[in-house]
Amino acid sequence: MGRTKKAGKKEEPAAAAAGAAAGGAAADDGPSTSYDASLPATLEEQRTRIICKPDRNLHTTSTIAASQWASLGVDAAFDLARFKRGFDISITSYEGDDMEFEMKGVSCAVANSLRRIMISETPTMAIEHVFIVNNTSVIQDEVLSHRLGLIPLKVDPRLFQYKSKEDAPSEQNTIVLKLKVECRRLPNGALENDKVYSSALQWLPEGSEMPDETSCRFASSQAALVPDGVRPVHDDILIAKLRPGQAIELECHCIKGVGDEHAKWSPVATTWYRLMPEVVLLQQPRGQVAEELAEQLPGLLHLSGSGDKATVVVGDVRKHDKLLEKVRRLSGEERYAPYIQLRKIKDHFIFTIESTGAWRPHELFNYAVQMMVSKCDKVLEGLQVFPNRSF
Amino acid sequence: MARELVAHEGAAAAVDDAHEDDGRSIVLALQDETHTLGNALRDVMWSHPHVQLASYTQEHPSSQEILLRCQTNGAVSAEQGVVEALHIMQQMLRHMGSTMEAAAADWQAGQQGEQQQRQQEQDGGGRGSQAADGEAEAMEEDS
Repeated sequence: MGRTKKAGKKEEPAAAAAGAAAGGAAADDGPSTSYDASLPATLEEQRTRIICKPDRNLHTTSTIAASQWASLGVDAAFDLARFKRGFDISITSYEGDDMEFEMKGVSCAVANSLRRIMISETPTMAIEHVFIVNNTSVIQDEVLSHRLGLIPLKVDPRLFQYKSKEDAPSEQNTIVLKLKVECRRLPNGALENDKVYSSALQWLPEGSEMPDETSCRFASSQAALVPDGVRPVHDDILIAKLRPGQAIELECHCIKGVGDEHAKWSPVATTWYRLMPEVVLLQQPRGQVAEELAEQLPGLLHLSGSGDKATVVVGDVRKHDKLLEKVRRLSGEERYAPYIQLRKIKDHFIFTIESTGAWRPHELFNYAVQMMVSKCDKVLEGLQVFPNRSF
Repeated sequence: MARELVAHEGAAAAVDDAHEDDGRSIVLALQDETHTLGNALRDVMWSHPHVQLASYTQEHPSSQEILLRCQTNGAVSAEQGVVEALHIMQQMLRHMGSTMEAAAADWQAGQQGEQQQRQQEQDGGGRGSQAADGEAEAMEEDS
């Protein structure tokens, strides 16, 4: 945790004049998409920052019209070079199936679209049909089937095709798993198979063992198609508990789907983002006020000097998440309001992707990007082609 | 799969405008699209210098289409405004994708570098993470 790797090679230039708060230690390197002609400081602040007041947030909108500041001589039209300068992704932690990264220089509308695609439009494989041969456990067939459906499977969905209702199940669109367990008491008195875990699911690369009932016939084995095999992401998911003599025998047929239809196909436990916080000193508190603030916000504000000469310096905001709402509250108190303020940077996202295991998190992000590009292509297909860019 | 809306109750007025003002405004019905595309496209359309108004609506949560409206200042047709916004979005996305790939490769190289370093520290050597960092930077230059 906590290791930071920069994706962009160059260090961002020091805070651009207009946006960075006077006297405050900005968490950011300054507005990532500043315009060639600078806006007045107040407008730049409203453009790039949300001001977090105790009772409400100010300047929360982020959509900007190209001609919004035309009267000030500032052109806000899209510029690819400027976008590329301002855009940056840096991964802050990547452990197993969880990735956290900071993304800046992009509008919240685009970030949100990617989040939505990852949750509901990215495919995985999941158990959809369960053929129950025998179930004498206390769990009803339909409850058991539902539990099985929710088990995340470690298999690349890109190897398979979607199966529509009319399609016959085949090695191209269906994975078959088998579960056959019986609980019994061992001679020494211990129970065998009294707990059924997801590890008991066996992959059948040759397809269904009862093709007459399931109408699922494979033309060839899947062993070559899926060299790594198919197994649950986690082996220790409890599916059912059995008593001696009880047994479960069934076959699960998995198909490809998306989270839009059922959450079991969603490739993420969840994915979310929040805005980068920023604690700003509107003016430098001195003496007793400085000491009080440093005491209220230990770690976040560092005291330097003492007595009448005491001043504070803002420390690492990301390491003191729990104090931020306190900053918001203090900024509403008469005594501290002139000195301290909480802000959020509108185009700087702390993005987290928690994959369920079928995809690597950064692959999910790139899939969402690709998906968005192809959505644009689909719309472009129905529209005219224009020879030149008009600006 | 966009089609220009010809007869739609809610947007009939807008369609009339379109015929009177030389294509300066357009309402498109996008099949099988939702807020996912609508909101991002609207946001990008506003950043087009000739677009004066951009909006979208999904008329009912259960409807399978969104209506996208674009109005321009006349320098380009509304349709061209939409097309260019789509191209802008694709350019942005492609850059985002390659940036993520570079960041992930960089991270991985960093991990390997760390491992190597640990290995070499155990072996009593000194080289390690520097080489990995160099590799990562070379990768970035490529993308």
